[in-house]
Amino acid sequence: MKENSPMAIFSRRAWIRGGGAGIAVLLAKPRLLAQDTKVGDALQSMSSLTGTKLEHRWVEPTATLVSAILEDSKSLRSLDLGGIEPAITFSAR
Amino acid sequence: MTEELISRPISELAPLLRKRAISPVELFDATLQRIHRLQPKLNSFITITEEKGRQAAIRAEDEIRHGYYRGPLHGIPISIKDLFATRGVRTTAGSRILANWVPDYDATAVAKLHEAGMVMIGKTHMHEFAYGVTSDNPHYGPARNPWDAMRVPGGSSGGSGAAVASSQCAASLASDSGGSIRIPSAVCSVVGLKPTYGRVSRHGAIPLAWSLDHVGPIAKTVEDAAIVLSATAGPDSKDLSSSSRFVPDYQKEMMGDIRGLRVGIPLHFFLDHVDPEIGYAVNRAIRKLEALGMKAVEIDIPGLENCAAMEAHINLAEAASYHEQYLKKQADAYGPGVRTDLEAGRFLLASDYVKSQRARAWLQRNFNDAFGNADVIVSPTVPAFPPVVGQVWVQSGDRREHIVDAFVRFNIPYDLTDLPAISVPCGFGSTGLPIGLQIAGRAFEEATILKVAHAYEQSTEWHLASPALD
Repeated sequence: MKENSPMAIFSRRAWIRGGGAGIAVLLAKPRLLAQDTKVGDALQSMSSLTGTKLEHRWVEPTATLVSAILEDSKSLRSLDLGGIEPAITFSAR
Repeated sequence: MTEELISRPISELAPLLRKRAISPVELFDATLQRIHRLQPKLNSFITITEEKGRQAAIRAEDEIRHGYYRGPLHGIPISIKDLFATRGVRTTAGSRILANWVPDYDATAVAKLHEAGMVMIGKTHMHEFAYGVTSDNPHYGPARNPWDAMRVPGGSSGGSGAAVASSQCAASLASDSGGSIRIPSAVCSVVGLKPTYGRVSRHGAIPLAWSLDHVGPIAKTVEDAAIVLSATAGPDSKDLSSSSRFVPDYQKEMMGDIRGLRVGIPLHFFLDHVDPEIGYAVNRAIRKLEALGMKAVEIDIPGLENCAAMEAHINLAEAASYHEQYLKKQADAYGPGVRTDLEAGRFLLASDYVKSQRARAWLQRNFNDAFGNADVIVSPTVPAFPPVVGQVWVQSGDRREHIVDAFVRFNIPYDLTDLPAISVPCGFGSTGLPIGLQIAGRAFEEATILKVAHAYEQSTEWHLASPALD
């Protein structure tokens, strides 16, 4: 299995979502996957543009989670929802 | 006062309190004694409100003695998830950031419970900022499951589920954004009701995700859940999403006949990747509902496979927005799991958030179509049994998956669609761990799901079992 296959990403996402132990490993020993490295670079770039500061040691777990969510979102993004508006609406008060 | 007495449901305690056969103060003291005995083992509470609770019990006793009986919650020991603002009582949301926050106001639902005469006995343990399903909290330690103290009680309202199941309170006020009421209810063998979005005010509840957050009860029985819902539901000018729809007397409404109602059996998703013992128990429950006169109909709901992604975008983006200032100033005070979620939420695309909200509207339409053919939809509440504390992998039938993915899977659709859903006990696995049956209904038709849940509950004995803790 390739390291950045969907299964590897899924496992890493679950690992991240598990909290403490998994994240502690990533914080101590960064090992970004190829895809996550790109996301990590993007996050750093966005930080400088938006002023949203992301501490260096949080790049790894954050990039891994963002990458996994984007991977999971392919089906959602491919949905053709026609003219359906967002569930949240606003009205004058 | 005997332990047997404090383990009774509100519907049995209330008449005894009303006719002064038992005293609110004695009930409070006996319950408090049980909390002190079980807290080292189960860690169900973050704060125990001993003094304020006793004052409320004394007041209730005095009022009842003078003929001023407020209703079925008068003098009843209730716990409040530590997510809700409580005037003069610290409210941590399970976090270090709010560890010393003492609000000067009550959340609306808490205020309504006070008006109904509850005796607030404590603030229950929870996952940090409600952001998880294990209640394994880096700041307050793990809450534990009364049915097996080695295991998690679910979450995020894990302390509430465990406290009700172990009779450390008669009921608890909790919140649900991805299953946080129903998950602990299922794995602790109690009843958890997530009402329709807007049915109960969210004012004073620390947000997880504004558009997904729901407030509702965890109780020993369906009738008790109906009692607490009746006391807390209704419009609130402080919550713009609260509904002004008429609030029925749910305790009365749930007593009706279920013969002829249609129970929807999903063709896919809701019964996929489920532990065989849980699947068996849910199928047995469906047969029971049929035996009670309901008609089983198969239903199909498109779009459910996108729920996890929709929830991730909405939840993370809204949570990151709420926590923005805390992240800037006190980021190191978060546990690593929640910190990662919040950091990630700051980097998701706005277009994905909006797409998720559009897909949510589409999903609501699909559920509305399904509810054209069914009055309720049933499923397992969770597809797997709770793991031991510290473990995050569960076996959901043919799928080994992370507990978050597993436990929220059947819950998220009803948070995304705002629809009411209740979890009721429907059995135990061979290892003695509880199983929950989820019953969902149309918007603002809480009375219907309560009615079906009550009929099912009264035809079984699962709700009568209690964990051996001594």
